Amino acid sequence: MIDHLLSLIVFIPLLGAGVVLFLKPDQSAIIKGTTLFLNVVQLLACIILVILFQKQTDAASITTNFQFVEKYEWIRLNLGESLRFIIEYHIGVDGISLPLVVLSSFLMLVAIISSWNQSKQVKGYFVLYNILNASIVGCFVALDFFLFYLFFELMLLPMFFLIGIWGGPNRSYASVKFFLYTLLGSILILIVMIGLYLGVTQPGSTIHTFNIIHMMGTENFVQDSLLRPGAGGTIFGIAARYAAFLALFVGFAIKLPMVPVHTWLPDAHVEAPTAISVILAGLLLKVGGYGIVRIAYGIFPDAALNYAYLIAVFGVISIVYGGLNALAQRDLKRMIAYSSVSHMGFVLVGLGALTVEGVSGAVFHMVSHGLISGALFLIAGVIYDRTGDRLIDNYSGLAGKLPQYTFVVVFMFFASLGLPGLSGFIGEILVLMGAFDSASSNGLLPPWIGVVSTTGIIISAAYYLWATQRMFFGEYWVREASWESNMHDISKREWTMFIPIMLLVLILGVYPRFLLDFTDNTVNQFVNYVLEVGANLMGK
Amino acid sequence: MSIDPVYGLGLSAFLFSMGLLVIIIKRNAIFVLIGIELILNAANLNFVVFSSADPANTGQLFGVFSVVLAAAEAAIALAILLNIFKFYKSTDLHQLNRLKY
Amino acid sequence: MTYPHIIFFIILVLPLLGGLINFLAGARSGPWIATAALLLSSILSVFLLKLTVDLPSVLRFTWLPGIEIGWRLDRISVSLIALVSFISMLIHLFSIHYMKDDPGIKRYFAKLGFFTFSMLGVLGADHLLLLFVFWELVGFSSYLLIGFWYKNEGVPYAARIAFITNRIADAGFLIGIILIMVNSGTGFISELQSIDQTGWWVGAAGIGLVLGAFGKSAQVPFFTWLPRAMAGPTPVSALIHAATMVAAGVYLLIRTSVIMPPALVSTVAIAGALTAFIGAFSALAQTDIKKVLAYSTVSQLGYMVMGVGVGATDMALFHLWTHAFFKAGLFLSAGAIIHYFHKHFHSIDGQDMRNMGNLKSVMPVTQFSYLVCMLSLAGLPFFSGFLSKDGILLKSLEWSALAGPWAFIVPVLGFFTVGLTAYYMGKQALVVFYGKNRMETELVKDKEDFLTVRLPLIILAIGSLGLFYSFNPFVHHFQILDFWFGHQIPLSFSMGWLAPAISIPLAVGGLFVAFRSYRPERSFTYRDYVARGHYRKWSMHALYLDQFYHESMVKAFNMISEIIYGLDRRFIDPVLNWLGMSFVVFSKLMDLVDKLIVDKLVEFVAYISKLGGDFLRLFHGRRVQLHIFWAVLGTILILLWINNFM
Repeated sequence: MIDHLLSLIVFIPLLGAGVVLFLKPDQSAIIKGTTLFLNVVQLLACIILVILFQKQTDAASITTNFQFVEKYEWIRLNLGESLRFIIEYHIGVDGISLPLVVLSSFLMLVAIISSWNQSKQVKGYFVLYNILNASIVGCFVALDFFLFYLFFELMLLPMFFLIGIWGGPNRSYASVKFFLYTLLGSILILIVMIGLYLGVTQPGSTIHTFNIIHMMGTENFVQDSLLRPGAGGTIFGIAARYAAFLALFVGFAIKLPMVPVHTWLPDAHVEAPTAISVILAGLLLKVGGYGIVRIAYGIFPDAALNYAYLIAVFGVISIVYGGLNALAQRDLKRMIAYSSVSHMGFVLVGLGALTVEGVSGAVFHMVSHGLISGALFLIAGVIYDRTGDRLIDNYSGLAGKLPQYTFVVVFMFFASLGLPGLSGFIGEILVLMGAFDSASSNGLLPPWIGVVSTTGIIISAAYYLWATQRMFFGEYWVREASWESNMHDISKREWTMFIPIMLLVLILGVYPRFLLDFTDNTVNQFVNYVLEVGANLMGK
Repeated sequence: MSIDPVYGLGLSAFLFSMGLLVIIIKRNAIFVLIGIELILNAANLNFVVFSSADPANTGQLFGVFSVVLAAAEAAIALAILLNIFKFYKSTDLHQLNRLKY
Repeated sequence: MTYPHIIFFIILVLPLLGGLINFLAGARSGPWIATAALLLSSILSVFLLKLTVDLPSVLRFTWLPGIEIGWRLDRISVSLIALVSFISMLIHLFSIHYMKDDPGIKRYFAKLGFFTFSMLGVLGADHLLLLFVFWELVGFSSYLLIGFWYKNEGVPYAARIAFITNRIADAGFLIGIILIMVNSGTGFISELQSIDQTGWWVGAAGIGLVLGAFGKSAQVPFFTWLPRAMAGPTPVSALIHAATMVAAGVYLLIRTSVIMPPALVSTVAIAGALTAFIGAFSALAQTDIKKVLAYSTVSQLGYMVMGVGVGATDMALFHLWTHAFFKAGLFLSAGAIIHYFHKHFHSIDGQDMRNMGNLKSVMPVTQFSYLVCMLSLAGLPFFSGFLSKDGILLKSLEWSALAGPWAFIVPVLGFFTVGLTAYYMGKQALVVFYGKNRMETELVKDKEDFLTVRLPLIILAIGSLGLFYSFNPFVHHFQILDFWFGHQIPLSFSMGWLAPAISIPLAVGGLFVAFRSYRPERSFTYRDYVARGHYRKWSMHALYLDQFYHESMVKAFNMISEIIYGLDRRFIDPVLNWLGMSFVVFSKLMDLVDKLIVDKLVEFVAYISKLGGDFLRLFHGRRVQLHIFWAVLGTILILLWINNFM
């Protein structure tokens, strides 16, 4: 059982999808109950995972650091004497992926509670929901590129329908836009994946492999492969490895999302139902960040070093650009969506810094932003549930009418703008420390990156406080008289979504080692690996 | 003791021809189904007969496999027929030329 | 964890706990519980002072992997902890009366408790990062408390501006902290002296720290938020925006000035002097009783910063201490007046001094307390403000003598401000408490509550007496400072008599001018309350800096964000959409090719096969089984044919 804990976590939701499929469409209570129950089981399994996870391993390098590894041959085709096509079912977690696995299980649970009142085509909704759950978790644990890609693509399908069927008025435009964008990214990733497959063999044999860990070992590349370090081939005038890195990076950056390929995000968020927004912001964006760490950086450390500056510059642009955009928004949800763009910029800066603080900060910020942005979208959902309207200017003085709601909103707004004591601050400060440290330790980033990033905390304060002032302060007033009767404070069901998130945000903010102890070892090894191997390869 | 395969093959050929004939001639879908069964069993017989010449007996294995498949297939076919009968009140193949509605 | 730390944590958590319990308890008893928690905190902090007075107590722990932070309890920090918890206790006590009829009283005390907790954290922190954590929390609670009456017009805006201004300064502070941590490997304030101070980063970090301190302590150019912050309840103004929080910037400067380059320190001195002057100048024409005090706070903070800049850090600290008492006393007196007006003359603006006069007849204790605190602020001998202010001024004289002729701007501004301060405070006292009642209606006699109004006022007034700090009203022999620093502060300047010789006449002169214009028996019109002359408007609007920020920076910032959003909507999104559209157009083209050429070809082939099919159809009847028949027949024929060939 323990040996297959990870598989269990991945496949419990698929089981859920199967069970829901056999229920009648009108048994909505049973459908919801089953999904909820299985998700709780999944979260419990995640907790066991966390308990059994060894924070300090004696593994010497990042490639042997994985725990709970399961590795089976999955697809095998014999195409002649020496030509064999093997795809493995290979999963495992390390300190970087573990928090994300737990986060995704947790947020999924919250999102179920949020969609408890969903009444339109409940069966279809929860089948897709369960598939989405499995695919996101699968992405975080896959160690085989093919398996990763499979889960990565599998994620699109339910997301497309969940936005396209259960979304707002402009849902079809948003869902198609979302799909096309991410598909473009997927294709870039696919090309590199095939290139890597053809370029990498299992150690000591001629059999090609999709194994990410093998891809990280430079000795496993075929002699005449274009992607072999030092092979000297070029694509469009860029060294082949650099080009492959850029393709992977862009592919994941679309998901992240990074300015200028972020425009799918506001539309998708505005149209998606609340629970799906929560997952979109809380988890799907993190898949992009995780992909950059695990795959782009992991396989091409030399290119990562080469482009660190560029990545950080794009991160800074995202921070400032997203923040300024958020300031101009009139729709609450759109403002939060742009704030996500801004905050994910911090992740890019942290990754660009390639210092222990920077990468720890990036991972921490991904988790913390997952929690906070999830809660923020729930907040937007609360008001939307009551009035069907999210325009900031249509409300005023809600603090007097909805004090509990105001408390939650102020808590979360300040968590997001980086108030110390809450988790948003830790991620930001680690990233900023990383950015400044980079100037003096590895010389990748000049100090202005850190300085400009810091303005992000001013801009975020500006838009959150302005929104608070407009919506919650002043005399009580709402645009339509018909909303009046619906303006009741947060219900018990809504509290059950907010309380765990608020607690986690508080715990992570006050005692960040709660999370950082898990990531520390892996991040150290990761940074050493990228810096050492990358520098070696660049020297070649 | 062994029987000359020719007898077996002859029987199989006879069964096959009968089955074919039934399929072609009969208008009733049930009879056509019976014809198909006959053809399947002719093939099974061939498996068995040829397997008697094979020391590994793989043929018999396939025979058994095929019988199981045939059973499953017959069940599905009958189920379909039953529904068709419910819908059209007939099993005459000549009248069942409109499967879509 | 050692014994003093356990006590410290109890002191730290008590206000928070008191606030929480108050929130859960009833509106009657809750405030008393919160106040009792603060009382306990103050008693414990005195005990803590006794414990740590000779033996600084340090506690360090790893907060983030690889980053050790910690607390340090030494004389300075614990003295200030005692000060803050004591003044906070007094203000809790006063608030019980002041907020009695407010429906949000529970919320109020919870926030006040949270503020006290954060402020104590700032003082106990030894690591810059830990200090920053509480620093921000202090700013946050200040935001909450300024915005307490969020329904009133202008209040939310004031709260937001306060937070954002502090945030801008704190961004600089954060950069400074990170630069120090990253480049020197330590962020402990107590270790700052020993770090290697070479490299470009030292100056940058120093500027960052100064920015942070200036933001919190409302120095030029950040001071505009502080007068706005008067939108909060008056006890809050007394506690946060006069006595404690705004002094945190000075505290930070005192603690970190060791790593600042000399040029920066000189700049700090000049900025402080400038702030002192601008604050005092802006206070001249104010008509709002709280605004006068707010600008006066700005001015006094300028003195403290100037003190740090000229090297009189101990005097700055002393001024911080004395200022906490007399300014809290002044604000609470103003609060008592505002509350009086609110209670008896609800329709009259109780903060506008033009409505006041002859209040001494109805509020004698408030008048007494106000007078003591005001004379202390004006800097007259026998009052505490004189001692601390003159220390700073003396040091500034000494400093400017050494630094060069340009540096004389600092003491000149400093002394000039003494006169201004005496003038506007004298004016305020005369207008508010003496003369004739300037309202249509008669004043109502109303005895103030002893425990919650008079007691805090009296205590603060006693704390503002010079006797409390030094037995000699003129000579700088500060018992309390000796106690803090463990040694006597040497004042080696040969002309030690010079500062009092200049400042006492200036202060007396200021008071005299005020008395001449606003003496009780003189009748004067509304126009006279604001100082006459061309500078009136500039003083009233504090050099129009606030308007300037609003018109230029805030609007520009909003415009930029709108432009960028327009860019996003009209450029980036369309370009990407256009890319998508171009694919669609391309596919339409392909579709045309498909229809006109490929389709026709296919149709031709189809036509040929149709001809063949029509022929072959002749063999097929309408019966399904015929197909099988023909198939079987065909197969047999093929087999026969193959057989013939083989």
